[in-house]
Amino acid sequence: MRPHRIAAIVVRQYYLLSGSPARIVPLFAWVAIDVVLWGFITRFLDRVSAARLDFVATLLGAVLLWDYLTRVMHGVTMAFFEDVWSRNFLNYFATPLTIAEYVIGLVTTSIATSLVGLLVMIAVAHAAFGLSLAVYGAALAGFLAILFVFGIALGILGTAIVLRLGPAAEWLIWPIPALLTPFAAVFYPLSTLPGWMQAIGRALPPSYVFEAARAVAQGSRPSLTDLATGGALAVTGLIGAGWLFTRVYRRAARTGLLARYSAESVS
Amino acid sequence: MPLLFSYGTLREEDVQLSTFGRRLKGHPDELVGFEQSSLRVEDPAFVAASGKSDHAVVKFTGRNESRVAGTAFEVSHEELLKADRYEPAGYKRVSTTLASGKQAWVYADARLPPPPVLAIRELCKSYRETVAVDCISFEVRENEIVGLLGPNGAGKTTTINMVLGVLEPTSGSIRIGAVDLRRQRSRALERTNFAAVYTPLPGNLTVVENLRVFGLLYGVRDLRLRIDEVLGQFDLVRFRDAKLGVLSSGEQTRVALAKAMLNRPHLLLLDEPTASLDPASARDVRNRIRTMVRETQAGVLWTSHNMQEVQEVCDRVLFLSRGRVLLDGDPRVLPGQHGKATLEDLFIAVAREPLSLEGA
Repeated sequence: MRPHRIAAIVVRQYYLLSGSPARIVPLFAWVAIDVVLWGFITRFLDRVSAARLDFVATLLGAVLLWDYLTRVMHGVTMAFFEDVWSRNFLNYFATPLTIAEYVIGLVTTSIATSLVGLLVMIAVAHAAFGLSLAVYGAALAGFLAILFVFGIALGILGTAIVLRLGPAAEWLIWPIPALLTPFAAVFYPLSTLPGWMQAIGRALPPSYVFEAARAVAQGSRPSLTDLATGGALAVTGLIGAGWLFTRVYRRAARTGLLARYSAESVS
Repeated sequence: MPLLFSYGTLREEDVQLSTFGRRLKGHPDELVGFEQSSLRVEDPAFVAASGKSDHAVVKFTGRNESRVAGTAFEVSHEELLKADRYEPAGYKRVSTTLASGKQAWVYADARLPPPPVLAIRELCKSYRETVAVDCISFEVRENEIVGLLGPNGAGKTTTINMVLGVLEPTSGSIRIGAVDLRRQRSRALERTNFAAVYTPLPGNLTVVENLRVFGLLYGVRDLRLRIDEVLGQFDLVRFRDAKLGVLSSGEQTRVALAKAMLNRPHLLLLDEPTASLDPASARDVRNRIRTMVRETQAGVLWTSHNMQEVQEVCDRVLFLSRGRVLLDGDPRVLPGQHGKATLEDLFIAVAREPLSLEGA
């Protein structure tokens, strides 16, 4: 593992971002709009609902955390797609770069880009709707860590799918977070779901985060066992995604796909 | 060859001898002895280059092969004092006879030469029933440009992709220097580089940004200085901050070549490097590559469909057809050996009637 090779992957992404407003704006614009939209929805619900529920903390906080996970995932996949679009794989993998260094480079990029999104969301949610993530207390660190690890796992899974199926498969990758939302108990407790959906939800790390976040918002203590389960599932997902990516890469090297990777050669 | 010179003053009793030159890496072969019968070999090329006529070429014999160990010649005392002298372990002192008949002691490198820059053994690549490369073996040595020729689909690019580590062989081995590519991919590729027409560098980065990224990937030391050097060598200084995508195809090719030289590769793979260049630029690029090879002692594997270029540049060519090496030899001599007037005629014969040349 050589830091200078990981740095090369990060530096390339920095060059792409620094010279391109079209790449920088999406890092925060859509999530900021999401926070504004849900901020007004929660404010309205607070006004009309008879329930003694703090919608800002429960719903808007959940939206913010879910958007953070999405940004982490997209941070990995966007960096990967830049190499897909510029047909850069042969250039990269004919160098001493290893798969692990490449993936770590993508993850490092994602840390930076998702942090931008998170900070903007926190600022907008606080300034416009008075949401403070401090409401989650020390548990917030656990929430963010689990969502980060799972977001990275989803990102690596997405890159493996595109490497295997070709660039056209990127349209399968963008909606993955939306596909998981109903199962991940983002906006409602897991118990709301029918049994089979609950079973899927329990296999997803974010559901443990959102259950715990709701509990904290309602004044209860989060279950450490549940958070530990969520963390373990996220790490398992990350290991599984890394294993899958390595297998897909090796297959691509064996079949010649890596050397000739383009939309024409795969799809 | 020769890589080192041995020299000394020629007094029978007070022999003052030394050696200088490039130290060779250790070699697993074991010295058996010096080949006494070859001590008086004349070397006209060396005489012409050095102006030293009173000399001898010294050979030694290893358990696996014998080779020239150095050239002994008489020097003045002043020359001796100026020389960068050393007598390292592993050198052997032997008596030799110069061209004039004088006897001299020579400290000669007792080790065998380094392994080839690229050694391919029984390399095969199959896609189910289709055999793309059919158990080929060849070597590229230091300071050697080898042309890999053949019609489309002959297996040239497949071979290059396997050497670059982006395509896994079905069987066989690839060694870059002393390193096995399959076992130590990253180490093997550290001193390798390539340029190919079908692999453009990212067009959305500037020239200098691309060179920085690839300089980091190859771990180039003093990267800023090295980038300035290659930009100058390939006449790219004025394009350094231009996005690669807006450059002409010829300019992009020069950037790809600058990237290929960035890490001073020991093995350079060039897949039709001058295909998109005008004749003047192509000649310029050929000269630069040859200069680089002379300076760095690199080995080059070069594919091209321009037979004039191949004849001008390559020390040796390999003709591939249907994944097999049909012919191997000097591009200036091979056509005559096979009854053809030009290398292009030979190429066409290989493409159309490979069976007539098989086993030639």
